[in-house]
Amino acid sequence: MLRLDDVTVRFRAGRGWFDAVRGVDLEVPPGGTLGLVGESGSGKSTVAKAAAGFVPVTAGRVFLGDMELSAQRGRALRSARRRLQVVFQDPYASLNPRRSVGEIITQAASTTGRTRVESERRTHELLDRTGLGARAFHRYPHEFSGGQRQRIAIARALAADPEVIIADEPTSALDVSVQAAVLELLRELQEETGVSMLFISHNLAVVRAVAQRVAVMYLGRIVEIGPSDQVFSSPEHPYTRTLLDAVPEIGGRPGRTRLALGDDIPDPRFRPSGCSFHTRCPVGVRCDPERTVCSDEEPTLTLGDHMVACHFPLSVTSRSAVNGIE
Amino acid sequence: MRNLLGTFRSVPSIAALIVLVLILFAAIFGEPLFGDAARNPDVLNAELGPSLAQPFGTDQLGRDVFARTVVSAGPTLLRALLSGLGAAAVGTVLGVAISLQRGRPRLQSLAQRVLETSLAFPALLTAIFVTAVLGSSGSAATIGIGLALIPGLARLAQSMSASIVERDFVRAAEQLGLRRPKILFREVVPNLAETMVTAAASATALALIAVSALSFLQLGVQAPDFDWGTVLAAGLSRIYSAPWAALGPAAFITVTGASIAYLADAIGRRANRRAVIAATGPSARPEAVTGDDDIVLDVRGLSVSFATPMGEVTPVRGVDLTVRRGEIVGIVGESGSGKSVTSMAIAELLPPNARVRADRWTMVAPAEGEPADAASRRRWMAQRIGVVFQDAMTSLNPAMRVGRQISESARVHRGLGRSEAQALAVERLGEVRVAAPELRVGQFPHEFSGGMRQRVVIATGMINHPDLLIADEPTTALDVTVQDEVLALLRHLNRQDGSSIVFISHDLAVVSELCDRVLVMYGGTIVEELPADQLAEPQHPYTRALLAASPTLDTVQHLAAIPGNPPDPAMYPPGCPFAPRCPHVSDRCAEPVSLVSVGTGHRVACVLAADDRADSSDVEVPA
Ligand SMILES: Nc1ncnc2c1ncn2[C@@H]1O[C@H](COP(=O)(O)OP(=O)(O)OP(=O)(O)O)[C@@H](O)[C@H]1O
Ligand code: SF4
Ligand code: SF4
Ligand SMILES: [Mg+2]
Repeated sequence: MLRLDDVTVRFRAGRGWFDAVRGVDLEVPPGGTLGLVGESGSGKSTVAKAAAGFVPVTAGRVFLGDMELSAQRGRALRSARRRLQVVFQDPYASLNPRRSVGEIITQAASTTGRTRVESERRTHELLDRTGLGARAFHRYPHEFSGGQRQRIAIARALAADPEVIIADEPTSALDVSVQAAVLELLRELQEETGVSMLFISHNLAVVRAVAQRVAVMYLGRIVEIGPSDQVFSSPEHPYTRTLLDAVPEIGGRPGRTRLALGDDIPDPRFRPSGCSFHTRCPVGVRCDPERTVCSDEEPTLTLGDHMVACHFPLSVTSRSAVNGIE
Repeated sequence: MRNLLGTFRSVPSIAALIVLVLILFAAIFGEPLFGDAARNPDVLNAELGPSLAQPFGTDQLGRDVFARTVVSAGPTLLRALLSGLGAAAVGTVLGVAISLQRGRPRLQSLAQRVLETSLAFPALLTAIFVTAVLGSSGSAATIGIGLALIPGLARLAQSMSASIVERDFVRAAEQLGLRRPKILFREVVPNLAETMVTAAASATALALIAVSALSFLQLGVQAPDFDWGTVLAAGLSRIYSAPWAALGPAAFITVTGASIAYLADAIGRRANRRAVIAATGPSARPEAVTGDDDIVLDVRGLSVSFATPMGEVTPVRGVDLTVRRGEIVGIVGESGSGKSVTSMAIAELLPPNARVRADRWTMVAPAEGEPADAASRRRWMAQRIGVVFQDAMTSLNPAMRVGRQISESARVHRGLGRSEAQALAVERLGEVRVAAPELRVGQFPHEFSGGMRQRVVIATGMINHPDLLIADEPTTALDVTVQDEVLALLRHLNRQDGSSIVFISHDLAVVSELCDRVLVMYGGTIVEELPADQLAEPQHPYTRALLAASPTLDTVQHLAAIPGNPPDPAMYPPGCPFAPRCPHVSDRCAEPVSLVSVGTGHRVACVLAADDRADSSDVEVPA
């Protein structure tokens, strides 16, 4: 439904330039959810912004269905953008404090060519459906809690009848119990409307709960992508594995051997040579000096359903080697 | 409107308002009442002193100076308003227009540079220059002053709207495909209005002074027309013989200008007002006891109330907290459950509108005995308890070197000198495992990564090697990898120095990995207390619901949301705070429930747990 084709986004940094996103291919399946995970600074939000058109793509193309979104301009772009809605991270910054909830949602509903009456009817439907209730119509955002505001933002996104929703960390400002409610709401609404979703989060457990496919980003590149079940239960990329190992679990996971990272994420302006992860990788050249290929040559994504960009994917590396380097 | 009226409720505001109403009267009725006295020369009565009929005396041509001042209020005020409000209107449009040129960075930065440059010229000089070029007259002065005021106002509007344009709700409007002007009108302008109205009023006050100044310099209105400036100029030539002829109009200018400026300021202040309320009564404080050295902190029945505009609220109600030496105690709960208020009460860091009560509250006294005076007591507290706040980015000052921030508290409370403090900062940075600490202390926060910054904040809390470190959600904003690192560091500090830690979080999993013992808070009370390794099998319905709502890496089934919302501290139910959302609620839950022991180190505040205990006889009975 939403497809990114070899997308690069370049930003100015001081006197030079750097690529926040480098040659990313992604596809959000119709009616399904693609999760995108990675540390802060890995370029997740830049992917979202490029897809939504908030930042221009430097190279590559963004498709929405058959239409090339990144090639649209002016009026055509404006009418195309409606088809792709965004739910933002901070529910306190994403609603205009000066407008009532009813106005906010009705405005979104009317962009699809509904009359005023129809838009208001749709707004009431959505208020009811998101559990906010009809009384919310005349109230203002500051009267609502974070979780309720996020419901308002979801209602606004759906009011425009989008084909794709991009949700960028939609629950990371919320409490666990509220998060569960918002995630459930998103899932139910997806089932009802068939909307596709790109779901971005640094919380792997949350992505696990909503996404059928998951992509892992590191320094602007996709390093692993595949069905959630496979990526979470048998990660191929050492980075994915270290991310999963860092997730705290109640009672701890039995028999867990941890792969630990060497260092902090490098400054994206000074990307390491070869495999960008080699400065931190627990199985690459940092820990095994013979693996010089890691710092010399950039690995490319393999082909298939479960793809990985690593010279020594974990299923190939023997388990004893992994445990030995711990 | 009601907002605006509320602004005018203080004595100075009322005074300012009265002044402006009087001046307005003068502006409207001055001409019909005093027009003749102000204009018709009466040479026989020239240069008279003040009298009851002519309080400011008469001028060289025998015209009543008071009448001239009153009559000229109209034109003076009109010009001030025209240039002040006109400049505000033009400045707003210009500023917003510049901020909207995000797509054209070159044009935008050029426009910004032009603005900055024109701001470098003194406004009055610009006004004088423009007026002189246009040919001295009243209208020339109005235009000149207006032009001179525009850059400042445009800059304000530009920076304000630039920050609004960056907000997500504007992005959302763009994503709906709305047109630019519509976005501007609906999303940006309403959020800008309050500031710009205030700025326009301030500009009018400035313009009033400037209009008078230009006329005074003979650049404004020309005879036979007159305004406050020319009346003042005429009076000033005789300031020694007849001071009132100058002081009178000068007073009019000053008082009017000051009144407008004051009201503008009051409107602005009201917009950013935060209720400041006095304390409701004396607060409890910890006593130092010499004795059981194993217990770092012991507080029973801790309650915290806040005086708010809506009356008193009590978000923490009867919390017991005991921390042993070397222990890590976790407090979990949802937003608003009272976690932060509890910990801030313990650190004595609550705002003045808070009132703390406790049945018993003890901390172990230092070896030399209990501190005597208030100052040494504060010093003692600061050294006993260190605090780490949630957001490393906002708790560090971006403009101060890291070393200085770390050692600030040691300098204040222990009176350390510069070099000693620096050496201590290096030592602590090393302890939180920052490489090359002697180089790092000289750097600024932005030169550190997220995880490093959080270490700096921890080093700040550890500066005095406190017995107790309170960490309020120190990992909530962090990536899992960085969180892992910070948790490892806390564990390391705890093992190495035996520091006790109170760790606050809303994440059950994080707490279970780090802590020895966990307190679950809900609605300002502790609903369950249990050893961390039993968190997978909690007994309180709330803790169970929280567990079911937490996603895990193996979650494939649906997450169970907790229906309803957490209770508002202003309206806590009388009985079990969880009753409105509890699936097991019964009539008995309307009575207050207290913690009962259900196993070693495991206490639960729920009527169901109390039942279980009555059924089995082999559980320990709480003291
Ligand atoms: N200075 C204050 N004046 C009035 N009420 C306050 C004040 N500080 C906190 N409160 C109220 O006390 C209650 C408990 O707040 P607290 O900050 O302890 O919650 P918390 O459990 O730490 O939540 P979070 O997870 O959001 O940090 C809230 O309802 C809050 O609004
Ligand atoms: S290519 Fe080498 S450095 Fe990169 S992830 Fe694979 S093993 Fe590690
Ligand atoms: S006391 Fe009653 S309402 Fe409260 S948790 Fe227990 S069963 Fe539920
Ligand atoms: Mg808090």
